[in-house]
Amino acid sequence: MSFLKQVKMFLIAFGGVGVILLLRFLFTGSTKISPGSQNAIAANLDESTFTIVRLFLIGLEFLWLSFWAIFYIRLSMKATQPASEDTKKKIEAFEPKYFQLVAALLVLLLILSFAIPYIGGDEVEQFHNHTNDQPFDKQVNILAHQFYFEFDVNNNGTYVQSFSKDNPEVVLKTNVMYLFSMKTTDTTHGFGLYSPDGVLLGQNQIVPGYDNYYYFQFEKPGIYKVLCMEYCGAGHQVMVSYIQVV
Amino acid sequence: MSEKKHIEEAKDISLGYFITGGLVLAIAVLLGLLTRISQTGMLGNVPKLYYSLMTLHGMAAFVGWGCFTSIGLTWYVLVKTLDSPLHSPKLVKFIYWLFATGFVLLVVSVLFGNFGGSWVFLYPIAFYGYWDTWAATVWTLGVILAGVGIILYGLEILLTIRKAGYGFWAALGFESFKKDFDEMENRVPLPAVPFAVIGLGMIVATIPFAILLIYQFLELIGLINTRMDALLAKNMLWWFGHPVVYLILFPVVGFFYYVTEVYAGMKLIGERYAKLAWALATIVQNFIGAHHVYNDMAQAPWIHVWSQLGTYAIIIPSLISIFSITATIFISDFHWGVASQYMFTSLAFWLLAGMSGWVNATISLNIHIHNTLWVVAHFHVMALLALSTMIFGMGYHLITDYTEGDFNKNLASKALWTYVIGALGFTHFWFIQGLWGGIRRSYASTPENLTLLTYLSIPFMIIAVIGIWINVYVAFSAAFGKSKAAPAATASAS
Repeated sequence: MSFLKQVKMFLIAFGGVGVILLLRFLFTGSTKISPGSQNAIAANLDESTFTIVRLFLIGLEFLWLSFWAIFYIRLSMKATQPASEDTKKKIEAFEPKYFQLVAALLVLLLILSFAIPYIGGDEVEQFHNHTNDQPFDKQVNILAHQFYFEFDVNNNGTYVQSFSKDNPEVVLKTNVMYLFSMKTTDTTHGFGLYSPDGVLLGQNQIVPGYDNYYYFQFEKPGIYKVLCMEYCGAGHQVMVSYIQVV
Repeated sequence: MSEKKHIEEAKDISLGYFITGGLVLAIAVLLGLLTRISQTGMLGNVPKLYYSLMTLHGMAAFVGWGCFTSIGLTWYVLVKTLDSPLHSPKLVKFIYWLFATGFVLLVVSVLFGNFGGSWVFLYPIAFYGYWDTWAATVWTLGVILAGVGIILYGLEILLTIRKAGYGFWAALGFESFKKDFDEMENRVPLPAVPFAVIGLGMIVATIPFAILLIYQFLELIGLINTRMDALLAKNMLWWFGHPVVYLILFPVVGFFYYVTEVYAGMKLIGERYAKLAWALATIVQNFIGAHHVYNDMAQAPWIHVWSQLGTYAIIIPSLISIFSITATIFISDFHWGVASQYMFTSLAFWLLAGMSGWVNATISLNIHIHNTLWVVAHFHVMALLALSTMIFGMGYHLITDYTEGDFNKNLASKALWTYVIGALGFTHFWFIQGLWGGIRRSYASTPENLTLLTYLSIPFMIIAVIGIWINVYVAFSAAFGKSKAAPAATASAS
């Protein structure tokens, strides 16, 4: 039997059985879970969320669109006629210069990408979270479980969960440098800190078997939100806690 | 006569892989649509359903569509561009059945066993899920089979190039360093170079991942009782997990080179610099996976810096290739057919996908978008608009060759615009949701105040699904619609 015929028979069999399995799965294969009351994820969009980063990224797309629009128009005007020998030679001669240009541009972007967070001054320096030897005022311990966070604000072994958005049990202060020291008791989780207006301020993975650190100083009061940033199982979406900053 | 026979055999094999991938894609996009719909609550409160669908959708799109098609079309392009037979057609067919068996196991694991660890199944989540241990075991076994297939794919490429009489280093692009490069007569054809690079890359990258998979498998069946270091496991996963994206991307660049040369009727310009860039890619491709763990602060910072340097370096082959292809189209008397239309569309979106990828690869920007829906938008633009358009383009070139141009070209062209409009629409809602902090791999639609975008994305997804189904229908009709007692030997376009 030819290879194509074998493939055809396999696809017919696989397709038939696959459809039956899929229908069975959709109707009976999944049990509902009750996510509880913590799945309300609030993020108030306002003008302050139009950060420079977002504007920059949206601008990139316009650049892309403009480039292809110009190229396409140019190509259409050329009406698929081969270019003159002169043009061909010019384009071929440009290749080494283009190579150098690309390399120089990437080196420039590389330098900028490492320098910007330090020049800005208002962000946590990007490599400080790897260790716990940077200066800080207060340590907050966090335990991540399937599917909730626990906070030990006073570093004395007393943990609270802080599920309530209206009345969070975790209360922290502005202008204090906190060291969040995080552990997980099961699988990998993520720590995502959101500002009161819904901006993702920073994040860190909470890897099993490791102490994971995150330095942060709150600049303004309000209700901050902590979400799990790594898929951790069926209740991943209900891992939400709140921090009140005064 | 024998030359004709080996080309015919390669066509059959490649077409078999391609249409299998097509069928899987038709299912995968349906699963993706259901996954997104389930986020709206229209199917009830069903987080487990969501996570299992998400898992199967990811693996079906990747192992099913991506691997079957990029690997499958490799054989045709290699044979045509090297003008030499495959090293072992039997091995190539064996690889197909390895993938097929592996994929069936993955389907059984999810649809029967409710496995839902996501397609990256970040260790040790397999042990902490809502699924049975046997489901995780079957899943792991399925991925192991696919891994073996990937290693054999790499070997077969290198052996086929060797059989055609080309040297190992030359095939990886290092012949560009030779002073007399321009005068060399027996240079490796440029379209073969990306295949050689990924062939070697996959052999190297799959080994650590295979060790992780075998460890997990032995743990699941109870032969090992010690948990592996989770950070080490994560690095083993991503050491493979990023280069495996190149398992699709690099062959696609090979397809670009091949299709451009055929439809332009000339060799690509800038061969030497393209090969120089590929030599660079050969070195750095296996050392950049750690950019997926920029937010793992438990990791030493120098690894992050090194990953960013490597990732920036690997942008060079993309930018050089885009320049060479664009310039070649511009200066040639380019022939516009179905295949080249798909190729040109792919070229445009390759740059967009690359730009959003550059954001992910930059440590200081990554912290704003890591594990947000921005990343989901990035890889869907890459997978659907950049890679799949080129894969369909290459597939249509093969179909043109196989059917002597006798297939539904009109429908194929319409399908392109249907799915491009659909995919462009729904991915951009993810870009916006991601920039505003919406989390990926979460049943909850976040941020909550942008939930409307989740609803708006669904009609675009349906348009994209229809476009893909039309493509798959055209491919199936061409492959099985008529008796091919004596298929054509040469490409009508070439």
